[in-house]
Amino acid sequence: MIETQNLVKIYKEGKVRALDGLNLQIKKGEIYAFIGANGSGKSTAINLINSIIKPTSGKILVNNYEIPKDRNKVCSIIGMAPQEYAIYLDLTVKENIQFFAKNYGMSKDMIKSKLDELLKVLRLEDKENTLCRNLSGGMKRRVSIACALVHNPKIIFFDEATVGVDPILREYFWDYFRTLRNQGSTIVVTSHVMDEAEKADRIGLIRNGILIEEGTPNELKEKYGTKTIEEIFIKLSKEVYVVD
Amino acid sequence: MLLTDLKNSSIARILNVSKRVLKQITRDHRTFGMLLIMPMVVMFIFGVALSGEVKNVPVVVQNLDEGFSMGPISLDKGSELVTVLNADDRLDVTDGEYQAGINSVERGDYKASILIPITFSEAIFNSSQNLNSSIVLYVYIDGTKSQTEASVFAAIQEAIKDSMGAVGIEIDVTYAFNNADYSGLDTAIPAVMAYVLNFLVLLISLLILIRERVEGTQYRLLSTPLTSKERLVGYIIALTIFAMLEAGSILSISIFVFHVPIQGSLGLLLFIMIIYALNNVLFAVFMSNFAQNELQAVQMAPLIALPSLAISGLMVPVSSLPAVIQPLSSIIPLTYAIRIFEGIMLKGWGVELILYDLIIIIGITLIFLIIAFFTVKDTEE
Repeated sequence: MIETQNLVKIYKEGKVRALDGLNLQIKKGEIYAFIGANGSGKSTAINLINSIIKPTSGKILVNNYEIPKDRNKVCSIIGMAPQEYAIYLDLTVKENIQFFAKNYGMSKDMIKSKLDELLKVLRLEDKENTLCRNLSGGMKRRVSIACALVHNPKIIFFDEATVGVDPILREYFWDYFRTLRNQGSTIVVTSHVMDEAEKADRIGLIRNGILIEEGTPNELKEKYGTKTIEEIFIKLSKEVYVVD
Repeated sequence: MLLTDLKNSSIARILNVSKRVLKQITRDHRTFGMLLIMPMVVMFIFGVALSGEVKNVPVVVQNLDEGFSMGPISLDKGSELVTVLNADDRLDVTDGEYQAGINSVERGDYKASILIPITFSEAIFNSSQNLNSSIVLYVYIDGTKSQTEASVFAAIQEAIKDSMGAVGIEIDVTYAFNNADYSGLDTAIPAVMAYVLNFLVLLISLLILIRERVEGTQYRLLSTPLTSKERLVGYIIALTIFAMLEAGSILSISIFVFHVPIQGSLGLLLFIMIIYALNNVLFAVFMSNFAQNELQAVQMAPLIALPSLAISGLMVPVSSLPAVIQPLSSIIPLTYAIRIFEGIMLKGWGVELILYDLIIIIGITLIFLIIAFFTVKDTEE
């Protein structure tokens, strides 16, 4: 469903090599956790797959469409909740969701029913007409997620969606990710919080713009003989620091 | 490419952007406060503060004086006066016919037309002999710019004093544009209106455009079907509606608070104010490519607006600026806007006399529009 081949991204400003030949394969209907330290290239990869930025070289395929060339054919099946809230703080919760819905050409009835559903699922019913400026961080995050889901996307990216979120809400989010997965959506979650990775179907560990490990949580723990993913991450990081 | 992009665009999505931007403007109290209070504050400051001597004011002088001879006495006072006027750096004297000079003043090419009559020298001689004779100098002057008007009169009076001493010469003054002799505030307001519209629309548009980038929503929108060109058009529509309000607010203050006379068509003036506001919206779109955050935008706007203030003819007429700088004023839309606003409001000019300036403003607006369309991208580098 999502494939990258030798994906390279070099930012002109500062000449940073954010991705250095990334090869990824994310299957339909799975929760894929993209794990790595800050600055490892997770968000760059997500932004490239979402055709927000241009690759320096390499290939990106989403549903067999090439990105960014065929951007228009896939952007309506993709939902993206970025690292920042990226919502309009001067608009209400409802207006934000409506704005994003209209960008996908949804009818009024469709918007209405989806809005009701999302407000309920994301527990924002009583905040419908509240300006986003006046919401807590967790609520803003929920609004951001609602905006990403309003058009029933088949592929959903949550870029550090659980950062700054309390453990209860984080657990709730993961339950919701699983519900979406069970409904047939493909979920890609990036995080630098290692215990989150255990909840995913498969994990990709990224370092310096390269995928250094990939597998199910159990496969990886077995391979490295550890109890947690965090231990694997620390082990691999230490190797890097020694080499460096 | 542009046509295909426009063809594939969705009106609903464009209007969706416009509606959202308008909602945000009205909810941002700081922006809204600026919209209402700033025009009044800025116009007061500039309207009152602007004064100063000007140079190189273009005038036409016709010397009909035939001179006067009687025995050993031979006078050519007309030529003497012309020589002194020519030497005065406040004036840029052209030798020409008085009547043609009047027409040129009405068209705005010259600021005054001066006539030295046939009997000028003779009258001066008679006066020196205590014979009853009046000495008259005819001046047809543009009274819509008090600084220029004052400089012309000061130059004439000093020239009379230098070339003729203490001789009582009457200056017969006729004001151009239906005998319009305005107060200092009246003459300052049109240029201040153009400047305030320029500065505020540019600054506020820039801030609104940058906010989308700062809040991360612009990045996010790149992953939706909304194209950058649709977003751009949506913004232009919303900001132009806001700019129209700004234009209406400035015009209302000028009329109802400052009681500035408007000799020409109010409708035409408002129309051009809107075109000029759109010009500034598009310039802001262009400039937004260079500002990454609000602070940069706030710093950038005065950086553009202040030099414009100095070289657009607002503080001193363009003809008084150093020759090296004068060509710069011709590439600034504010120069043309000031000429149009003054023309319509103070001189009663119609479309035919402002057409040239209007075409330039529209031309620059289109250039900004084209640049804006070609610089927005659906994918960032």
